[in-house]
Amino acid sequence: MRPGTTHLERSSHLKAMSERYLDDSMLIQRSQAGDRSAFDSLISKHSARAYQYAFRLTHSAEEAADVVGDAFVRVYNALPNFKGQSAFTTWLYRILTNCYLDIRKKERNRQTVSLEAALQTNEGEVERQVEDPGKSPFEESIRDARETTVESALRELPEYQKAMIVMYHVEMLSYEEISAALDLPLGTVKSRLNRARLSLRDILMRNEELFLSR
Amino acid sequence: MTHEKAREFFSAYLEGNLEPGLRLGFEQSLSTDAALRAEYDRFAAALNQLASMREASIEIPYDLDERIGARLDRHLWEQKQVAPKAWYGRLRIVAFAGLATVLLVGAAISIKNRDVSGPSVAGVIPLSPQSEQLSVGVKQDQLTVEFAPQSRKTVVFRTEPDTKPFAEVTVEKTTSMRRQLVNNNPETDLVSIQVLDAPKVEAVLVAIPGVRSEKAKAGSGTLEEFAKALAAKYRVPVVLNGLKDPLAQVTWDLDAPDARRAAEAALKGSYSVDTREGNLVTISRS
Repeated sequence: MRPGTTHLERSSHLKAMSERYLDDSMLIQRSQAGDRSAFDSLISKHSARAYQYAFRLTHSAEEAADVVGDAFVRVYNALPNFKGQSAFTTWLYRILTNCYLDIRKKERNRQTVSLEAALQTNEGEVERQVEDPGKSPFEESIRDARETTVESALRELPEYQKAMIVMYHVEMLSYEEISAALDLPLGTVKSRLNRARLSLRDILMRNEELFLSR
Repeated sequence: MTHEKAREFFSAYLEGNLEPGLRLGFEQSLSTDAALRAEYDRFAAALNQLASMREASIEIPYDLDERIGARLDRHLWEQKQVAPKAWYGRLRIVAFAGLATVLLVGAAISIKNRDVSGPSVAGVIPLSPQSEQLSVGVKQDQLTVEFAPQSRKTVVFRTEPDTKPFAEVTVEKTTSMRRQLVNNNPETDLVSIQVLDAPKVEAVLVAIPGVRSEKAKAGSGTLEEFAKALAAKYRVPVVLNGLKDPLAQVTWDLDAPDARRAAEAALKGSYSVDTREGNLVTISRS
């Protein structure tokens, strides 16, 4: 049994998944035939869940909306090749995760360029002044008040581990679904999730100690 | 069991998936190693905390779907801007008699029908509810007209407002016609496609953008003029499907991000607007 869940929750989740899958197949067929209104229906059917997942990864309303927007554009472009070998939702999670990882990668690259770049001035080359993109202490305190300890800990996990944890523990995807979504063997999903959980626990313990030592 | 090895089994043990032999060994370690026990308890507690995230509500932006739709429309529009002539630039040009402004690629005026093995409807929109369907759609990035009559029929193509056809295609019973429409003129043209001997079937009108970009503006006029303005502005073919009143008056702004929304705004529900593969816009009766 999934930690922290009941059999009832799990079975109702699976039922809902299968019902959505049936309806999706019709909408997908129509979308593949070029019916934009069917694609709009797919959007309205899955956008909320997609947004929740993206928000849990990004912790930002703006970024989450960007991730979801990018993801549906990719879905639209790739839909002609979608053969229905996995559920649409599983496929959507895969695309959402990739969009999230891409956005993070772009951000990292941008920051690297900013920090390493030098400005050429009349007085020679000087280091670029980089604005601190982090939040102010005030903003941090507000955020901390809103967030649970576990959400803070999740922020510190590597992106890929965070995505796996959110998929399994919050979005309630099964190992098999995560395996299909991330295109990883089942055993790898299990071992990576175990590592991610251990990392999460380590972060929680560290944060707990920090809190107690204040 | 070493401490390190035992950590690998935390998840499987918590989920009750550990094999009996391993489970016994793991439980023995837990009972004899206080540090491991503490570590495992914290692990289980951490995962239980994750359940709180599931319960936390996340406010969905009220306009999320609209934003996604707009993002998609922008993407499609950008694609069109990058390759505005993609549809037409790749097409082979076949010269007809000087009259023809719209050419039927691969066809001849005294057309000898090219049989295809039954009409394929992928990406092609049936334009009339008649059993003998005349269809227009996008096939391999090319605007395509298909027709499969139950008896011998002739299809006439002419450019509005010309009265003389630039092409006639006779299609024999049990065969089907597939022809591509290309506009090599600088400006948008309106092509009328009419099946002879089928008086109850209205002509299909298709506005096809020309090779030159045009600045279409807000205005008013007939449905036919609106279709041409829409095609010119958004560089998409616009089909008027079986309309009895193509001269009905319309007022348009053309300031929407995509052709479909521009058409819906102008037609205000009097007609249905459909966009299919390749951004073909079809306007028909509601």
